[in-house]
Amino acid sequence: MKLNEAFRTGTFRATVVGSLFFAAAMLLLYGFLFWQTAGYERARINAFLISESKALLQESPSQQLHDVETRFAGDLHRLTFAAIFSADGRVEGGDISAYPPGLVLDGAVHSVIVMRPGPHGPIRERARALGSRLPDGRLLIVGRTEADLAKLRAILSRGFVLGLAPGIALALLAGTLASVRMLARIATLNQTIARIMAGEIDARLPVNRSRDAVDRLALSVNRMLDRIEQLIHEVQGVGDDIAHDLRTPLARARSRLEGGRLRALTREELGQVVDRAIADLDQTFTTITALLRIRHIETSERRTNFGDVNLTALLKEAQDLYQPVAELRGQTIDMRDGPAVTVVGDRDLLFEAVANLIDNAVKFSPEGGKVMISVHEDGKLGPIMRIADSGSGIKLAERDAVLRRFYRADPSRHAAGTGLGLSLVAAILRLHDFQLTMADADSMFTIEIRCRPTAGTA
Amino acid sequence: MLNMDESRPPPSPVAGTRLRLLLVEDDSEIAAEIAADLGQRGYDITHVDAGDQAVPVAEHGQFDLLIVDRMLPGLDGLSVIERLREENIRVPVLVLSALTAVDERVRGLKAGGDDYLTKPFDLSELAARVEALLRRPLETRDTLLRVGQLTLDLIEREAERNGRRIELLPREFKLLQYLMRRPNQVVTRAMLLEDVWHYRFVPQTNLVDVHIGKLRRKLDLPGESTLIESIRGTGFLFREIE
Repeated sequence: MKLNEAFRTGTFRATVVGSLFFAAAMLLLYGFLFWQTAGYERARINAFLISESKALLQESPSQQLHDVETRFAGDLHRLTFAAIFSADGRVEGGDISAYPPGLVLDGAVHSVIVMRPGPHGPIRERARALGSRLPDGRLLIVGRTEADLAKLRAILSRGFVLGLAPGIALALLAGTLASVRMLARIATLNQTIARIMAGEIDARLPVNRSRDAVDRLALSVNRMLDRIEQLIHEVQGVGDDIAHDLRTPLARARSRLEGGRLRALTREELGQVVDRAIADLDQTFTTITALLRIRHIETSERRTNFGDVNLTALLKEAQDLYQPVAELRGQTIDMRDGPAVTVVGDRDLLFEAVANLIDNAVKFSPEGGKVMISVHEDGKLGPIMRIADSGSGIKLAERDAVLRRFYRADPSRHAAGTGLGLSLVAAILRLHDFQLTMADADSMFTIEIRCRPTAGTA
Repeated sequence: MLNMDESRPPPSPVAGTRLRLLLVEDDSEIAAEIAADLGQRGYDITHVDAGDQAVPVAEHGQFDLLIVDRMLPGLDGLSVIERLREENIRVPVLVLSALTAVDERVRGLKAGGDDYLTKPFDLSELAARVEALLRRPLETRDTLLRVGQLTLDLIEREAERNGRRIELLPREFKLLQYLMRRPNQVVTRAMLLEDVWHYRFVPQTNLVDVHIGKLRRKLDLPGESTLIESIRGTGFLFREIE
């Protein structure tokens, strides 16, 4: 991994931006500190100068001059100074060489430039000074240089630079390291994804113990991969089922034709063989057509044909359609009367679903058995359709499976049909967002369809 | 299985000539089978295998019916029909298609097709559809429909055979009316499902047979010859018996 790649990561960019904010905050803090300390220092100097000036003013003129010469000019640090000027501005004593220009005598401390004698001639210094006129007309000036303030500023500046530079350097280093680490993880993730794309469908993204954002993402992706893997296995299973269910009648047709070719003695015999082979082929076509239809219903949002459907009338029609079939088997189809129940849906598809369920109910009920159908409004939950029969029902373990795309519960293997009836029903109900449940009650196997309540009734 | 007496071509409008069909189908093997079967049933077949050829041929030949495959090289089947309809050629068209979806059927009929048959199909189913398109169903201004021994009262919705009144359920009445309007003509199970009951699905049980059986038991007393004959492998035929 290249370092410049790390510099391009979001983590690194965030670090740089963070460092800039950090520097700005430091600058503000130091500025505030300096402003506060400088203010405090100035006030301290002011107070000191005012009190010194007051003390000097109360002394006798000779004492004043003495004090100015010794106490102030004798300051080893050369911080404070004082001087007495004659009324016409000549220096009478003290340690500044000229009256500071611009110093007004208003009893307040001012910031001025003073010239003070140094070993190699006068030195310009910034100072705070207080000037007062003595009763005899002379001028007294007390002051203190701002050297302390300058020193303070220097210390703070050094502290700022020395504190900030390593701080930013550390932040950038940490940012770079984090970016490099992140890039390494991304690289691992990418490698894993490449393996999955290459067909290693059971590979999973590595997850650290940190449970950070990337980990959570990786966990989600892994869960998604689990689901996809499961679906792929299901599809593979379905593919095998389809292949098997298509192979069986094709194989039968083939062997019939071969047998007929070898053994049929008359045109009539050959005709019978061919007829049976055609029936076998027709079964494969029926299966293929049913599969295509299920796929079509599942994939197309065929809500274009949706409208109000009177379920009561629809069930009545289905009952009417299957009554003769039931009669032939000595069965009855009973429908409980009730008020008309309406849903929004595709009438043709819903009829097909109901017809399929009644078809099954009749087919799997014993001779003389009974089928009961009903529909009623269940308050706010919406309409419920029930189709119950006195047949053997579907084993608990198989109930979910029979609704899958291509599944035939074993007992029906030998019954006519493609075995796709319930899968088709499930697809139609999914399109409508209706729920199908199966239950055994009062020795009847009941299929219950919970419909979505129509707007207005809810 | 091919029995010539299953389905006879309707009489041609021009006496002594055969009805002319144009078959537009690019699969040569299927085309050959269709042509052979319909030829044997007494039709005169012209075959073209591309959509763009079909339009000029249909324009200039005097055809009684067109059989058009949906997916064709050159110009697809639906476009052929649309173009013919634009030129005011009103000849009935039977659409053949491998596309099974209900919507496809609707599209086929919207484009101007008169019937839609999904591949694969029985040749006898095709023949029955062709005949149904060529013959007009019996129309009557009378409220009574009379075919041979049977009379159907369209108002009272009941039948009468040899002076015996026969009560009919609504579903039976519709079925019988459809059959009686097509006497001596083969009607397939799919035609009954689609045209009488307007169902677009294939039931798992032989529903049509059960209903026909029930109707037949009402119409025929023991000893009477059956009015609704079963045509093996195809469907049913209402026989006009005097």
